[in-house]
Amino acid sequence: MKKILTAGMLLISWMLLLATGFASAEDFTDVDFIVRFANLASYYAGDDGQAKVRMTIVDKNGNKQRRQFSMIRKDLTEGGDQNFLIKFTKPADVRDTVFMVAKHIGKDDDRWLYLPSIDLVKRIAAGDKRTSFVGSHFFYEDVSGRGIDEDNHKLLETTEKEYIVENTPKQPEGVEFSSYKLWIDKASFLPSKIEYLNKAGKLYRRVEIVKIENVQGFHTVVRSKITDIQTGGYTLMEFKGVKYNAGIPADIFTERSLRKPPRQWFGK
Amino acid sequence: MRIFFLLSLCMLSSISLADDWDDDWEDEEEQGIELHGFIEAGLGTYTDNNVAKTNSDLSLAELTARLELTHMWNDIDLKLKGDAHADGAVNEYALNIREATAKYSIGDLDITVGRQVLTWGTGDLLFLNDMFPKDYQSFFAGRDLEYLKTPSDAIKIGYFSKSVNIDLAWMPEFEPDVILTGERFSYFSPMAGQIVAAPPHISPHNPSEKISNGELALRIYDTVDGVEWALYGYRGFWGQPTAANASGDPTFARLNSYGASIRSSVFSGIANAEISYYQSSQDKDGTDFRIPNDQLRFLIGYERELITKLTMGLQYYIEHTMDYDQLLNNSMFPQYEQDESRHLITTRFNYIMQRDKLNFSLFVFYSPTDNDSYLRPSVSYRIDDSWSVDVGANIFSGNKDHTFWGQFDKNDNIYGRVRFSF
Repeated sequence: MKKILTAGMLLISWMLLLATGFASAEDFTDVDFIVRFANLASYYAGDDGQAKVRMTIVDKNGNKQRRQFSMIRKDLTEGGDQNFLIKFTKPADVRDTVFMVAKHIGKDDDRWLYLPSIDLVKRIAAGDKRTSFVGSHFFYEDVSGRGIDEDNHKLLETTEKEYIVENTPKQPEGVEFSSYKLWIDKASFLPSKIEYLNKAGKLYRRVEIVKIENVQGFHTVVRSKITDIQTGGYTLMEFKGVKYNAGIPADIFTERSLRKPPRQWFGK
Repeated sequence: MRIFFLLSLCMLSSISLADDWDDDWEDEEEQGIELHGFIEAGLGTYTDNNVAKTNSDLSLAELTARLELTHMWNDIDLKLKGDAHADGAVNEYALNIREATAKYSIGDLDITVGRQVLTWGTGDLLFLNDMFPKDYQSFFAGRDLEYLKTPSDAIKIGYFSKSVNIDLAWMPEFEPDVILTGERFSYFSPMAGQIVAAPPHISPHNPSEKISNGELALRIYDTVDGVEWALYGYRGFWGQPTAANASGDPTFARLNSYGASIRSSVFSGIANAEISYYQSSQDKDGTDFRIPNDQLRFLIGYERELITKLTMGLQYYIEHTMDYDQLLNNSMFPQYEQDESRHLITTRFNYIMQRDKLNFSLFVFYSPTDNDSYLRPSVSYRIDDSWSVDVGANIFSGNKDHTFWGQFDKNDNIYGRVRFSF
């Protein structure tokens, strides 16, 4: 019932959004609305999604590492809980490792890791989400989305192309930043840039969207770059083979898939 | 020389190109045979005056070349994984097949046939319902953790449904643990009343190769709202030669076990509990001194991130021997029998730095009843996607020579390993 309600509200919101969009250009002024839509556009495109992802991690000395994985995602509720299954293909020492996440809003995520060399299903304690995702400069939270209720939002400026939103954490002691700014593209509702200020108020971390593609009508970030401004290290993240509404069933996020990712979604 | 050339080539290729979005993804081929593996060198030495004698008192002196081939043939996943292993500590050369499997899915069934590593249960380095073979020599010598599990020749069938999942593994031939034979590690001999080492090696009598001496392992499990429950059953043998045959030689007693486990997230951490009853069916009343008694094993554990990047795990484990009075009354060496209830506490600390490249770990086994312990500190550093380095130590101590960890007191060792993965 709750889901139907949410879906209904969403539909109405979208219709409103489209209507206002087509009616050309009355800007939104409700910052919560803008942030919610940006969150949906970034992390909830379609009911499900699949992609191949590659990360190029470059440290301050120019040393390069690679991560490559296939992933599938299923939304349980729009803007709410999601399931992810990730299978690594590179580098050699993590190849065939499988990672499963049940993302929950308002409580800790459930995470499992399958290590094929010892046939071990390890359950991982929910950790600080603002630590490196698989060794990259991206955090877990950058990849899976930060709960929009965790920050206070303020619309700083509306330019011709973008909404500029400032976000300050409701619980500053739990995070390493003092605030971050989102440049949200009016057309796609995807952030084109995110900048984080540290506790001293100094810019130290920047996410840039490098390339957006239209996939089945969904604006999709296919290339993004995150820079650790203090050290100069950065990570490039690329998506390919993106597909939405592929019909991924909700019931395949299980130990069976963890031990043997379904070939239909992961290939060989 | 050729290998060196190959390595330099790999390193060169990883230095070039920095901000290039458009280089090839080098996708795994969808068809054909994939080849991967690693080359590893390991060196370790005893830090005590050990009774066990190895070349130059080295606990580890080896080169391992791993090759792993995977291929898909008519929807069947084929995998072959093996090590060429040269061991300088005990002058051994071996080709070990770690995995040779054909995997096939049909409907609600996953079937894996062949040599495979099998693991289940909720313990962290403690195994109650996981009766699959372990290699304690590798564990104590500082080899990679994957070597703690040795493969079984098995047929494993997994059945999956909405309400319940079932794993059944059949091992036609009993595969014992790789035990400490005295060659590499010294141990306590009740017969001699002291810590001994090879020669002579312990060479236990294996059960004869017949169908009724095979092993069957069963797990029934599911996850409900993030809570994982499982029931276990096993029919086979004790993994270690703790029994004696008529002529007094070490052998493996029959064992049935029944158990259950539960695991869930609790207060931002992972809590688990597991129980298992070991039924030593050849000595039900515990009076036969040649056969180990029944045991009840119980484990409770909790793991969580204490502060950012620092994870701590705690486990409490109890091994309770049944019919203990009978055991003492009939034992040849009652003074050396383990306590009726052996208690064990383990702690794990893991600290990661430098975006997961540097990993500090300390795992401690401590028994308040035996007053002995086993410490496993280690540091691993991932230099890049190909090279990694591990250093660590295995430190045993105890007040008495005959307790579980105390008997290994003289086997303390430090080790280092360098690995190139491809």
